[in-house]
Amino acid sequence: MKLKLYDYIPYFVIDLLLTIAVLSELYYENYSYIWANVPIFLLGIYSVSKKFDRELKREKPFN
Amino acid sequence: MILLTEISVIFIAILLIWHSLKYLGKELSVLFWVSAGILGFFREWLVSTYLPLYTYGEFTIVVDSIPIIMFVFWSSFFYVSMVWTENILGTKMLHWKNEKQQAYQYLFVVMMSISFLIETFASQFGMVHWNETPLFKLWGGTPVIAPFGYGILALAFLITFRSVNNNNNRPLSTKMAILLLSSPLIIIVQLGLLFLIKSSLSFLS
Repeated sequence: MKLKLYDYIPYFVIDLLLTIAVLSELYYENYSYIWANVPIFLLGIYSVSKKFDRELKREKPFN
Repeated sequence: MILLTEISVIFIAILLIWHSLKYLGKELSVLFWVSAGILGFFREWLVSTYLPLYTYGEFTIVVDSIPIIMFVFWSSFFYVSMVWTENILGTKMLHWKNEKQQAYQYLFVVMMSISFLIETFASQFGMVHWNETPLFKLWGGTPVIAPFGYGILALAFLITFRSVNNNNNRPLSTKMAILLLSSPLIIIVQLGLLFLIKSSLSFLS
């Protein structure tokens, strides 16, 4: 499977915002706010896993 | 923290524009980022001038009290929701046929989820001050209509973008003109649907 960094950019940008958000929420002790980040985190995992699944299926088996 | 957010938004926009140049091609990228950028900024200007639902905090660079990052804020998230949906379905947006309905649902859900992250984060640092007391609140006192606003705006823009690009015979300038002229209509559709949702919520409560 070809794992290209380029494919990860649309996920990386949200990961970057998620990291800043979670760190600030922990720092300011707004623990309940962390739940707001769960939906986009799960959707990101779902989307990227679908993409990588497809990439794996496209890969030719070894002879 | 507001400055860090502004820098982050500009940084992610640069990364996404670079990604789209390879992913969509030059012509579609120009069309997407220019039309979505103008739509996003125009929408914010229109809402803050004529419908003061909220006011902004102390952003560094503002034009007529609107943060300059609004030129890339909406377009970045439209682009992310489009690419994520395409990756879930395994088909590019311009080739959606049978999966159209499913794709629109995913787009809507991705944008709503992005809104939870953004609005909660923004409320922590006073980047947005809501001028009304909402009936139903989310994290950080965000009104429940805010996520719908994100979803509806993305859906309205991407449906228009898709239909404009389905006809490949049109030159770039014509496509751009159609998209720019449809911006007020997209904003009216979004605000109209938000008004309906808000009225329904008031009625239910």
